[in-house]
Amino acid sequence: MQLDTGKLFCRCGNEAEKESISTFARKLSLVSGEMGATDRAAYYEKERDREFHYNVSDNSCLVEMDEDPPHAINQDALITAVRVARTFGSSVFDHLSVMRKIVVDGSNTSGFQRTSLVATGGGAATSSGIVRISTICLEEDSARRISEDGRKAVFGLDRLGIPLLEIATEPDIRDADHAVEAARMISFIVASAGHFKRSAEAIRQDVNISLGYGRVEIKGVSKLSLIGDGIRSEIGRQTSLAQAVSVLNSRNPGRAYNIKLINCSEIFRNTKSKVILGEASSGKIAYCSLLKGMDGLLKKGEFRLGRETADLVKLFGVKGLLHSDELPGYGIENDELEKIRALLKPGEGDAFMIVMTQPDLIHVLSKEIQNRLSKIADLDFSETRSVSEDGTTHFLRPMPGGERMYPETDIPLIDLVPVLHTAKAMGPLEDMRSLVERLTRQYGISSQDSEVLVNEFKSGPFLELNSIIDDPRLTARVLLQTIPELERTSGPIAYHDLVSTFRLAKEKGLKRESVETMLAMCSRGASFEEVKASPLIYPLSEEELRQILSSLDPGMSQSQIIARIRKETGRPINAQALSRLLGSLKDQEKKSSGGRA
Amino acid sequence: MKEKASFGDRVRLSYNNVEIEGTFISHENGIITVKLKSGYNVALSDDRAEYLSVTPANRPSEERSGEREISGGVMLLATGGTIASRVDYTTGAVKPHYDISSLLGEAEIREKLGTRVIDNILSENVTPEKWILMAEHARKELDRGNHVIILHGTDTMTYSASALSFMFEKQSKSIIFTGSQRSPDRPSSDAFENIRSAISFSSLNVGEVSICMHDSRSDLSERLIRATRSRKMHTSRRDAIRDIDGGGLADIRNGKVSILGRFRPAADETVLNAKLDDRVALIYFYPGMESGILSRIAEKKKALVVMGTGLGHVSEAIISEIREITRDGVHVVMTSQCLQGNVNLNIYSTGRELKNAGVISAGDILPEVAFTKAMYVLANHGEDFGETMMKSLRGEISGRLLN
Repeated sequence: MQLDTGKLFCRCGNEAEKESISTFARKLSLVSGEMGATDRAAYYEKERDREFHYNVSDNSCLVEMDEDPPHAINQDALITAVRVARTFGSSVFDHLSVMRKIVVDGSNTSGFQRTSLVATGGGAATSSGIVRISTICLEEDSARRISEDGRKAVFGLDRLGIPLLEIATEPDIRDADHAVEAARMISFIVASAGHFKRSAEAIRQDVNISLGYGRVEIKGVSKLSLIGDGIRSEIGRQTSLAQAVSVLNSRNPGRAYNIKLINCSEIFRNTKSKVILGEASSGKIAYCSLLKGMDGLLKKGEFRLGRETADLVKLFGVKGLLHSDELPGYGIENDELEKIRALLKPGEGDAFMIVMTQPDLIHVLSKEIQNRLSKIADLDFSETRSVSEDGTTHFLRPMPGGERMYPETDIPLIDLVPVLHTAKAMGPLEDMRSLVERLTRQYGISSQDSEVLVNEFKSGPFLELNSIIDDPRLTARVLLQTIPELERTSGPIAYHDLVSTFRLAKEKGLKRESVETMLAMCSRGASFEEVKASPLIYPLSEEELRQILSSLDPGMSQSQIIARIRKETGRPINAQALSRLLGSLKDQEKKSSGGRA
Repeated sequence: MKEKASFGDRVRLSYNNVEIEGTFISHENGIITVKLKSGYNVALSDDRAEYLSVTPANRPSEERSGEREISGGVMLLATGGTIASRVDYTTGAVKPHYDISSLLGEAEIREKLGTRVIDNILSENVTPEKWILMAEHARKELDRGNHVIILHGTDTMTYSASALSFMFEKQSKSIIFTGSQRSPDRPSSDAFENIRSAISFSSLNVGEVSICMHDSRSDLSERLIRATRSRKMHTSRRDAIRDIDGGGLADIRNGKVSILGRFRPAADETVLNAKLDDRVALIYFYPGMESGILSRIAEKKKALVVMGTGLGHVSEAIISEIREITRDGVHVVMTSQCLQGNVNLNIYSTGRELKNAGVISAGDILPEVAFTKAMYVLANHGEDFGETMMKSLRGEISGRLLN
C-alpha cells in the first residue's frame, strides 16, 4: 500500500501535476549479487535486451532519475510502518538494513528497488481465524509503465519512490472470499495509520497460490474484486495444465523438448496470410519448430499449452505465434502447411509452431521456450504472473530468488529504536468500528456515510478536505456522490485539483453548486487555472439576478425561475439572494396593488 | 574473541526470542548481519543475539583475475575509481576491486581487447607520481600498437588526463580516459556504455588525450572531450564531465559516431616527456583572504596557480604579497573562478597592478589544467615558463571564444 508521506528517499511529493516535463533513455545491465551469482529472473529480463524511456514528472528529481544517491529515509513513512507493525503484534527489528532488489525490467531507473524488512510475525484477526503475518517491508514503489512495444518500454517517474508498505501473510487464507476479507482488513489498518489517499494504484495485492505445482505469484492486483477472479481463473488454468501435462508425458516419456527454430521464410514467400505479411513488413522473419507430443494440447477443449508459449514470446516482442492446433487458419494455406510438415517431419501426436521474429533473438527464444515447456512438463508451474481486468492471468517472468537482493550501500544502517519510542507514544491505531463512530459523532454525518467513507478508505481525504472547508456534509457528499458520479460519466479528478477546489471555495465563500461545477470541469480535463478563471463557477450577483428577473414573466414559480436562470446562464445561483429579491419584488407588487385599491 | 561464523556460513540465531535463520554476512561494531532466505539482510545487536547453530558452507566463487595482454588492439588500463569499484559486502561500503573483465560482455572479450590493473585507488588519492606511472604504462601500449583506455575515477579525471596530455608531445594511437558515476555493481551503471563507446572512439585515431563520458542523462549518448578543456561540473550526474568553451571532439548517438571538432590526428611515433615538477599549488582566492597565506605556500613552491575573481583579480593586500613572491623567483599564474571566458589584466587597475607584479595571465585555460600545465612546463621548459604558459600546447587555450 502506498503511504501518502512524500517519497521515501527524496523530498518529492506523491502527486504529479505535470507528468512529462522531459524524457531520457537508458539500458540496464545484469550484475551479480553479494554471493557472486546472478538471479534467474534478472537474467531472463536481461535477455530481452530492451531500451527504457522515462517521462520525468514534476514530482521527481535527480534521485528518481538515478542521477543522485538516495537522501535520508522519510521519517513519517518509517513511523507509519512501525505503528502498523505494532498493531499486528509483529516484532520490529532494532535496525533497518535497506536492500537493493534487482529488477531489470525498467520499472526502476537504478535497476533495483530499495526495500527493507521492518518487522516479522504477528497476525490479523478475520472471521475465519487469525491470518499470520510473515513480513512487513517498507519499500519504494516502481515507475509507472506507460507503454511497451517489443524492445522499447516507456515509464513515468511520478510513482517511482513513493513509499510502499508491503505486508506478506502466511498461507492461512482458505479461499478467494477469505483472501478478499483479509486484504480489506490489512489495508484498513494501514489506511488508519493516516497518510493514505485512495487512488487507483494505491493498494495492490500480490496473491500467492499453491496447488502443489509450485508457488505462483499474481503481481499487482489493484482491485479487491480481482483477487477472487484471479484466484479462480488460476485454479482453472493450473488444473487443465496439469491434465495436459499428463497426456504429454504419456506420449513423450523422455520429456525431451528440443526447440529448434528453423528459418522457413522461403515457404511463405508468396503467402496471403495477413499475420505473416504484417510482421514481415517490420523486418521479422518466419521460423518454425517441432513441438513433440503436443498435438491437441496447444488449443483444444480445456487445453491451452499454446497460450503458455505465446505469453512467453510476447514478452520478447513476438506478436505472431501460430501453432498446428489452430492451422489451417490466419490465411495460411494447406500447401504451405504441407511444406512445413515436410521440413519438420512431425510424427504421431506431434505438433509444430510458427513464430515471426528478428534473427538475433532466435538463440534466446528457443532456449526460453524449451526451458518453459520442460518446466511445465515437470509439473513445476512456479512463476510470477499478472492479471487482466477480466480475471485471466498471464506469464510475467520466472520467480525470482534471494540472489537478487544485495545491500543498498548508499544508506547506512538505520536505528529503529527512536522510531519505536515515537510510535509507542502515538498510541495504538484506531480500528474500523471506532473510526466510524468517531466520524459520526464528531462531524455529525450519518453513520451510513461514515461507514462507506471508512470502508472505501476515504476517511483520510474526508478529514483533510473537511479541515479546509469545515463543512462535513458537503465534504462527505463530494467524496461519496459527486466524484464517483463524475468519474463514471466524465473522467478522473486528481486529488490536488480536489484540494485546490476546496481551498478556492473556502477563500471565495463558494457553496455546493460552485464546488460541483468546478469538479465537473476538472473531470472533463480542464486545468485548475482554467477552472479558476471561468465565470461559470461564480454565483450570479444580486444585480445580475435583478436584471434577469425583470425580463421574466412575473407569474413563474420560484422553482421555474431557478430552472430558467440555470438554463440560460449555466452559473450557480445564490438561493438566499434570489429569495430575498423575489420577496422584495412581491412586497413592491403588494405595495403597488395596495395603492390601486 | 574468535568469530563464531564467517562469511557465507549457514547460521541459526535466537534474537529477542525470535529464531532467525540465514547466511552469515558480517559481525562489526556490535552488529551481526544475516542474510535471510528471502534475500533481506537483518542487522542484529550482538548483545541480544545467541548462536544456535553454525554450518560452514561453500565459499562463493573466487573472482576472476581477468588480466590479458595483447597487441594491435585496445588495452584497458585500470587505475581504480567508481568504474573499478564494487560493494564490499562485509562492510557494505563501495571499494575498489581488481576484476575489470566483469565490466565487459562476452562479445567484447572476444574482440582484440586487453586488460591490466595498474593501480587500485580512488581518484582523490592520485598524485603527480601516479600520472607519470599512467603515462609510462600508456606509452608501452602505444608502442605495442594498442589504443589505450584508462579507467579512472571521475573526481580528478581532468587533472590526470590533462597531465598526460601535456606529457605526450606526440602519440601514435589514442589515449582515452573513461570512468563512471554509478558503480558497476548496479544494473544502471554508466560504466558499460562508457567503455563500449570509448572502444568505438578509439577507431577515430585521435592523437591527443581525451575523455569519454555520458553526454546527457540518457544512455546511448557519449561524448569525447579534449582532456585540456574538460571539467567535472556535477557531483553525481552521468554527464558530469563537460567541455568548457570548445573541446567537444566527437559524440556517439545510438551507435553512430559523429565528429564535432578538429583534433590532432595520431602521429607516426610517440614522444613522451615523462617529467613533472610537482612544486606547484592551486589556490582559490576569497574576499578577506589574509596576507601571509600565499607567501607561506610559496616557500616550498616554484609556481602558484591562483583562481582569481572575474577577469582575474585579487585584493590589494594580496597584490603586494604577490609582488614579493615573484621577486623571489616563484611564478604566479592567474586563472578565473568564472571558468568561462578569458583572464584579462588590462581592464581594471587591479589587473594592471597584478601584471606589474609579474603575474602571468592564463587566458582561458581552466584552473586545474593550468595547474598540471605549470608542472609540465616547469619540468620541461622551465627557462621559458611565462612564454610557454601563454602558448597553447595541447588545445588548452581556445583562442577564439564563441560563448
